[in-house]
Amino acid sequence: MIAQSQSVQSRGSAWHRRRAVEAWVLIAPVIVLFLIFFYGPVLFALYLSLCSWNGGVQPPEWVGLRNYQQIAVDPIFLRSLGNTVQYSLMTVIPSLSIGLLLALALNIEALKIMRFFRVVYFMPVITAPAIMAVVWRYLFQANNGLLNNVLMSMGLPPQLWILDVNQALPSIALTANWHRIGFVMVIFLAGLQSIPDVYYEAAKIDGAGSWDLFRHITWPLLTPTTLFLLITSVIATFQVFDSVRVMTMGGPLNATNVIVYYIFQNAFELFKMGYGSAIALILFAIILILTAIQFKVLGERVHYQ
Amino acid sequence: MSTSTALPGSRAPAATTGLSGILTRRVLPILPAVLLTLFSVIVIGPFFYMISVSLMAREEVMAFPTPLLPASFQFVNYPNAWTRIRFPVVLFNTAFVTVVTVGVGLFLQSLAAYAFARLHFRGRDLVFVGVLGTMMIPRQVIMIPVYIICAHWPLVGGNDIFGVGGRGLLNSYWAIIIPTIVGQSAFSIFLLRQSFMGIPQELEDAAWIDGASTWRVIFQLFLPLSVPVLATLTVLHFIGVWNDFLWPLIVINNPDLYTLTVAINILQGQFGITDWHIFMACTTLATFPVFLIYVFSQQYIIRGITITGMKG
Repeated sequence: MIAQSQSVQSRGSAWHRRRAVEAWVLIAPVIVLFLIFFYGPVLFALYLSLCSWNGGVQPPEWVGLRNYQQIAVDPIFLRSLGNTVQYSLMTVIPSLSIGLLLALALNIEALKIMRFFRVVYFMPVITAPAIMAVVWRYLFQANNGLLNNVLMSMGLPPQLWILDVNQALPSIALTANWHRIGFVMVIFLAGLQSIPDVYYEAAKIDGAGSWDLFRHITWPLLTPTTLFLLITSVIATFQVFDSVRVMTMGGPLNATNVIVYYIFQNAFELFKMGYGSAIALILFAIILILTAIQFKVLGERVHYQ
Repeated sequence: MSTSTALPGSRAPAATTGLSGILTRRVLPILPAVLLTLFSVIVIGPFFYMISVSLMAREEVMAFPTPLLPASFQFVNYPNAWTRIRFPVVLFNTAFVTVVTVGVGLFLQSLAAYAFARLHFRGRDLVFVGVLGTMMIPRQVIMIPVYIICAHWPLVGGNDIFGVGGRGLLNSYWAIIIPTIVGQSAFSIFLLRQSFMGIPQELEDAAWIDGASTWRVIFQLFLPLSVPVLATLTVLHFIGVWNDFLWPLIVINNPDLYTLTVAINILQGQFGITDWHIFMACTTLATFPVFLIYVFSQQYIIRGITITGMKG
């Protein structure tokens, strides 16, 4: 078949116009859905945040910025904000550090071993956080839970875990770390494997030791990956909901109430839809600012070689 | 004695004698393997224990301390769990919602991706930015409005033309399906467009010359050439919808329509402290489908995650 490709340019303008119409037909469903189920709701959320509404028959009542003013001094909101920040730190820092460590360890193993461990470590990642949270709740049981049984068998005192005001949030963070570590490890592993061996070989010829190799080759070339993981982890941890709902319902005494859980409570349990929308928009602003900060402050130090 | 496959830098070490020598030559090389194995125990532990408890008898679960392994396998727990969680109903709900969301979603997303990749029309780039913009705003911002829109959708669920009076789309599969498709679309369209843009124009032109319709060009040329991306998207979205909890919790409170995640959560209270073995059987049943998918497609999942991860 020697048919020459007819260049698209040589088609008539009528053909192009018809294809332009076709294009709109092709994207119409997506556009309509986005307008009704995304951009419309965004505007609606902005409007709702300036109203007070219980979702019922009576229309929303305009209150201007009152919701935001109330949020600024709402002790539960401030507590949920603090909890979310703490939870994020307790999840992001360990999961990234240990994940990197595991990836480094895995990187030097033979291919088959590497694949095996990768599959194993990734298992928690694909499970539903809401379902594994139930299992973890069982492990955390103060009476006869596995963790306490193990502690006691080692002669250590049993803990209250999710029942304790101070231990509940770290316990949920522990579950989150367990869930995420495989993901972090896999991404770091991919990043490590994209570093050409020649760099290492050249450095070794120059007499570099393993710490030097890490500090001057591995770490700098991993910074894009690290930044990506950092940003996505922060965004994800700020949106935590499932495990909180399943394990503690925000308690004890709001010790584990996080921003998204508080939004849920306000909108769907207290029927304060305006207030809930305002909190949601604040969450959006927080995530936006945090992401921008990470990009600016850390983005400069990323090496893209 | 220098090797190039072990730890970076483990050529003939400077200290080969004494304690530091032993550390460097004997301990250091096996440290990674030890570390990996140790942590894998922690990672797998909960699954192992969940299955173990699911096979125990009530006396063992009530005993203090509960053993690590059952004395004998109480498989009878599973039919029990199957009924108590209404597994067939719940499984069907989850499967239906997931398959429709991913299937219809990918269909619409492919059409849009083709248009963005290959067609020229006014406003194309602006609209594409609008598509990408949906990835910037977290779903919690719109979850309240979308809930209200579903509740007041006209002419369904008992609503009149103004959307008043009934339940609207709430407590129906569509309340889950449609907003979820919207949430996934930006990612799919982005990746599919990327893939489509890599297909040579000559191939497409050849198809046009042969008189193909746009339909056939998309479904018989572009999509078959994008199978890896499609496979990755299918698996990632499938798992995402299957495991979703917050949204089904919000829009469904009819027990006949519960998905797996919602059912497990709602049933927590019913099991008390005496029936953990049954409840663990329930969670095992609930996680089993995802495990099955994982076993068969883990390379796609992991490859897909790393590719999208590397693209940052």
